[in-house]
Amino acid sequence: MFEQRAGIPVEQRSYGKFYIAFSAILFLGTVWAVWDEVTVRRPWKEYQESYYAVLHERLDSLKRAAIEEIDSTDIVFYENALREAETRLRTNEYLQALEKKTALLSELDIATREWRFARSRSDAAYYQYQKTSLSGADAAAEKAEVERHDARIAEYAAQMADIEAQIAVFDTTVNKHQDALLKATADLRGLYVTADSYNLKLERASRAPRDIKQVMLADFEYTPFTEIKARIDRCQTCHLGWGEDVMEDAPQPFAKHPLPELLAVHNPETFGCTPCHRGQGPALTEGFAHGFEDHYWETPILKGVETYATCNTCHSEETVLKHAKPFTKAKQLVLESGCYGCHEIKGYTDPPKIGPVLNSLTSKTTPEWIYRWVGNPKEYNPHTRMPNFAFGETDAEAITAYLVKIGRETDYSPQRPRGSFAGGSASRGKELFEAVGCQACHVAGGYTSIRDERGTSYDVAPELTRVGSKVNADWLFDWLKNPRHFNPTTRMPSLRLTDDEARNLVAYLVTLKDERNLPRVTLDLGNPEKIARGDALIREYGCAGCHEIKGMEREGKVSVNLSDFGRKKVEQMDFGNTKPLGKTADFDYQENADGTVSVKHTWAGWVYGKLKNSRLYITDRIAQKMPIFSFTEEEITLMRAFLLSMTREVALPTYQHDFTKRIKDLEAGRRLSVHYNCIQCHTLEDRGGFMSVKYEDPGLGPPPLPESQGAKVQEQWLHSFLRNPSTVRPWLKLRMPTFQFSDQEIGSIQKYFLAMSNQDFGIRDYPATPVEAKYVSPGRKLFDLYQCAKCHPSGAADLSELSASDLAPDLSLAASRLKPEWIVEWIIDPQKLQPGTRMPSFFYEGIAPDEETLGGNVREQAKALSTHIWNLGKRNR
Amino acid sequence: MKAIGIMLAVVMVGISTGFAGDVTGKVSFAGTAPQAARLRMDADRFCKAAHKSPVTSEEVVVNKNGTLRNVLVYVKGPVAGKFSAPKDKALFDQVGCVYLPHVLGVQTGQSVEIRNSDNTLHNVHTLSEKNPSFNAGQPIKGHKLTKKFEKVETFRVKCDVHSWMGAYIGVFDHPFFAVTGDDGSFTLKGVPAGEYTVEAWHEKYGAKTMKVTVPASGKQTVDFSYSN
Amino acid sequence: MEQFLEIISKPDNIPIVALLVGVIFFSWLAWTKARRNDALAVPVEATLDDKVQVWPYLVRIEFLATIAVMAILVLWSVFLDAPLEEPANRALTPNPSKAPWYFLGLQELLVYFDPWIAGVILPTLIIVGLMAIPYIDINEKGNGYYTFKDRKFSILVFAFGFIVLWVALIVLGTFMRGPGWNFFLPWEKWDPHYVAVLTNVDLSEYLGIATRLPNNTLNPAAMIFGAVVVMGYFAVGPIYWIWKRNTELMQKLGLVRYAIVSFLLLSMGGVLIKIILRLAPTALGMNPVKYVWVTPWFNI
Repeated sequence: MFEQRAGIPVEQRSYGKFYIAFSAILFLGTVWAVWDEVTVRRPWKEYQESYYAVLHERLDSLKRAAIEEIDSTDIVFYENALREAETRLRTNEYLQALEKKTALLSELDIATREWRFARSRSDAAYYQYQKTSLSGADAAAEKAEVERHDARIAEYAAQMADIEAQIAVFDTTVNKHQDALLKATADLRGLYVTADSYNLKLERASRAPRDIKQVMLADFEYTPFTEIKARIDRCQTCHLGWGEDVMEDAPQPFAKHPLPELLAVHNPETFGCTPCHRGQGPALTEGFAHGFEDHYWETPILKGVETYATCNTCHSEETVLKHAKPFTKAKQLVLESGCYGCHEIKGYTDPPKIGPVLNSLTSKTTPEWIYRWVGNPKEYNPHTRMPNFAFGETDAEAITAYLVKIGRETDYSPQRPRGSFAGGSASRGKELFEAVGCQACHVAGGYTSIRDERGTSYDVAPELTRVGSKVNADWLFDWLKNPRHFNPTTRMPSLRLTDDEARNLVAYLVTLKDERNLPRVTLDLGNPEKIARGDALIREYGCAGCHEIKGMEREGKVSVNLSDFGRKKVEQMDFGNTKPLGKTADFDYQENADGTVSVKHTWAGWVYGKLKNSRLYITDRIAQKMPIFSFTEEEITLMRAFLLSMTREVALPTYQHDFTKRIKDLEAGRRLSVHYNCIQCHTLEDRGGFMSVKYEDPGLGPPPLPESQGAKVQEQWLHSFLRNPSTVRPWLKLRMPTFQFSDQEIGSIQKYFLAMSNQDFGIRDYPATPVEAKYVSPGRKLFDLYQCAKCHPSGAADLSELSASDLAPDLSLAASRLKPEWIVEWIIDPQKLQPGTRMPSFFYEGIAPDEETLGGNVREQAKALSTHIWNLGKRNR
Repeated sequence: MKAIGIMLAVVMVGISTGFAGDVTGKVSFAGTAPQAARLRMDADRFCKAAHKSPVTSEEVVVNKNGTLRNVLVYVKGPVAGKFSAPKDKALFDQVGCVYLPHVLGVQTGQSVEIRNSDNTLHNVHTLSEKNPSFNAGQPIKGHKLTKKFEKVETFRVKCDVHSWMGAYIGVFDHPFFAVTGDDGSFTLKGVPAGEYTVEAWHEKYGAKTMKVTVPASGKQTVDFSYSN
Repeated sequence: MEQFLEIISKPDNIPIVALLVGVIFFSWLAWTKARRNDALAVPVEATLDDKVQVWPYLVRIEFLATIAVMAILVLWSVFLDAPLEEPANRALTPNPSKAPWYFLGLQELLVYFDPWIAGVILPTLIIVGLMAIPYIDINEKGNGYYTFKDRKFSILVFAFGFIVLWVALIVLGTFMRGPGWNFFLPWEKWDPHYVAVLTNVDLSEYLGIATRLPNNTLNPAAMIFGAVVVMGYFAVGPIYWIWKRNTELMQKLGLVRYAIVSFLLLSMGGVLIKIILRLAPTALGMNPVKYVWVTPWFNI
């Protein structure tokens, strides 16, 4: 064909077919491109159609259910009423009145028009009169004209009033019937209120435009080149049902958001979705929007608990996030595991070291124990926070040699002469151990409920099950009497034990022997070479990150900075000898039958493996110093979410949670509450309160510290209580320990409580609070009437009659302990301030049982009662 | 052919009119009844004075005929149909520092009148989880509160002033429940025909269930048995 | 191999694959036509005396070509999205970081030369050389027809410069340079943890002359050695001139043109020699050559 064609001279060749073919391809190609653009590349249109279909179906069925719900007898009743009202409109009485009224109305129309015209004529005439009289001419004729028109106005006005009066007569009749109809209609409609509300929603849904729903955050973040970058977010184009109650259990992408209370403070309509969930905001197909199909999208959507990692974009300075419980726990794990001892971590710049001081160990325990502990602490105490460095025998001996050397140089000695511990009763010691509160932190004798309730893989204080084989009794007695004597920075509080109590406890604790039959070891500890080697090892492994060790005061953090770890690329991670798991596996880590380990070769897989076994990626060439923790799977997942949050990318200051003085106060308090483990016993901001499992009756356990605590107690009282706890609830065997807080720490706790209840720190003279005379006698009366004394002993009440848990705090202490305004609020609704309290509400649903005193006004009565309580205390002062 | 037609017609009529039967039975108790604990009311002079004879705990009460009292028997799970709450109020009284009744069954949305008939302070503290928990003090004799429960749940009620006072309230979304009395028998009236699980619940001995087919009319007997 | 297929089918690399096919096809076309002409006494093109008007006979074909190209581009856009990568971030650069495909040949040169030479001097020489062609090519044969016989030197030099030094380096840079700019054969997986042997030595060290003295200053002996080698290489041009200056060709070319041609040619050859010096020794089990001539100011 082409050869034939080549024979034809160029001028005579026809290119028509080529032209038609190419043009057709171009045309069809263009049509295809347009079609592709508006349909294939916009799958969200289909999503929107099916969303509104589902929404319509659900609303419709709800509407029908609502109609069905209506009592059929009610419908019949109101329909009859309506019909009756309608028949009344057909009575002669109504029809005649209506006819007359209509006729009168048209008469009124005519009269009104004439009146208006007359007024206009009068105005015009008045103008002429004015003009003539101002020109100085005689204006009598004009004046007469004006008066004539004014008379007409009056005439018509009278006529109108007359007609209106006649209308009013018939109006009464007409309105009576019409109102009856309106009321009947409204009554009938009233049955359908719920159905109508669904109708309204249905209508709104059917009118909803099918378009791209876009949220733009003009100034949320910076580009890597520190320029402000807008964030475009179109997730809600497909995820339409996030705020729709009826879509609660709908399939994705239509489901309602599971955390509506979180959305209440992060409104997706203005804040979008990607700041929390990540993903590619502007994309409109699932694979690209979620970021999995787009190989180059660096922040694919987060799933499960990892979603909380983005909280740190704005809340990195806070350790308690109300709506992100798992992440709060993750932050607590990091704080309690002491990761910051070796790693630089954003937001954890200077927490106190978590381990004990190691300077005087020889006074406390034996070199053999130290040696075994250094070799593998988990062997002695599987729940210890100390991770296993897996030192070999030689290294453990060297470290022991160094610790023994500095131990021998110590100037510590017990405050009492040696042997003062002797003479206690082990059984009474055991009783005391269980009652006074030791069990809150220490596990001993097989009681593990509190540990189980806490649910972490580690204890915050050492398990004492083998303590009898570890510590020296002289040391123990001294320690129990005053822990700060041995270690001035310890968290162990003093329980204000008497000498006898301490002796009993020592007697009990020394019976807790290590039952294992361990072979004796001979250690060569005096060898200077070994001591030098120990010194080097302690420095190399960064022991000083967690422990205070003599000679190591200036050591820095030995490991990498984690502040941008969340963005580390998988190419930068070394997987050692682990085998790769398939990308499709739904787990990250697997121990194989042949003893090898497979991990997913992804960021998440690497971190999982590292936290599971920090020596996992060790190879012949690459040594790893990070010790082995024994985190549970849940803890690993939480910590991984925390690590994922570690990026240098933060939102602009406008989006940062204001690090105000209040949040600073809260944060300082939160960290102290974790450091001193207040949350072990007290529930604080929904954290902790683990000790309550020990008590079937919550009234016998440690009291919770609700958010209103700061508004509750007087500053001076709290200060002296924290310094030296006094008895508030005399029936409790449990003791609030003396933590020997510094003034600064007490200040922090006070500010923490005040910040929780949104109050400012200030000095107030509570005794000077004036008492209003008008409340005094009603207060006394109500106090008796409401039988407050039935539960609250005041002063020298006879406690013997009531069982211990029946008791409520002594009200005579209230005036020196509580804030007067808090007492009023507490009396009005105790459940609101402390859900589950045993104090009943006497003004249930806002009604006073005594409706006479002070007019039955709840607030007034509460004020009267608080006045009486205040006076009770004043007498005591 | 004709026969099938008639049967079909019968079935359809049966479905459309909703035949219903009764479930009756009793709850027996095997073995020796445990000694009921004596309630010491020394803490409140009023309570102590209210009773001439010693008061015992109502936790386990075995009737003379060997049946167990205060067992809540009910149809478990959803029952087809809608049952509007009865207009009558259920009464939950406090008399002589004891709750009356000790076990109360109510329907969702039914008004419960909580009354203090004692001349002393009581508080009604519900330990409910699904329904909002409340703790209301009633310091004056004759004080009344009216309360509705909206969620299906059985929960304990206690008085924080008098530690011995305790009772249970069961909330159901249908009227097919009963509490055994002096003779340990119960009747669930007018249960729509069909297969159900009937559960008996006792505060100490827990729950027992039975499968029951309720006939279109007449009675179906179910007996429960508890033991020590 | 899987990885190779993935790379080859990436939307970014379609122009390169098209370039490969195109270069092979057009080279083949030119060579077949040239061979046909070379076999004849008079080139085919010279016998064609049928001439037509540009308008409309050429323009209409060009118009058709325009439509065809547009159709192809429209369909291309339906199937392939713009190949965007991750947002730029100076703290986290992609590995491997690759230049646009048409510059990959130059980027590949960075392996063999210092940036100043690979990035500035060599591109400048390429451009200057291309600009100089009309002035130094005095062979009037081959105008309007395909031939090889009459233009052996020009065609060979150009084919060497374009196909070997430009296209081949682009292909190498695109398909065989993986993470860390390490060399991978098509069937090898691009392993980000790949560890390459690093044993480069300077040429002088082959002869036992250390480049640096123990006090870490340059060894003058090595410097002189390098200078001798490089200058000796470039001296081939003048020597050849002296030897052949009386031939007809040289006379016609003249000294200036000859100097330019010989300098450009030697530079081009030098690039290849340096590449060979770097790559070949590994295959022979010897250390690759890093530099030939090390000076305080530049390294070659």
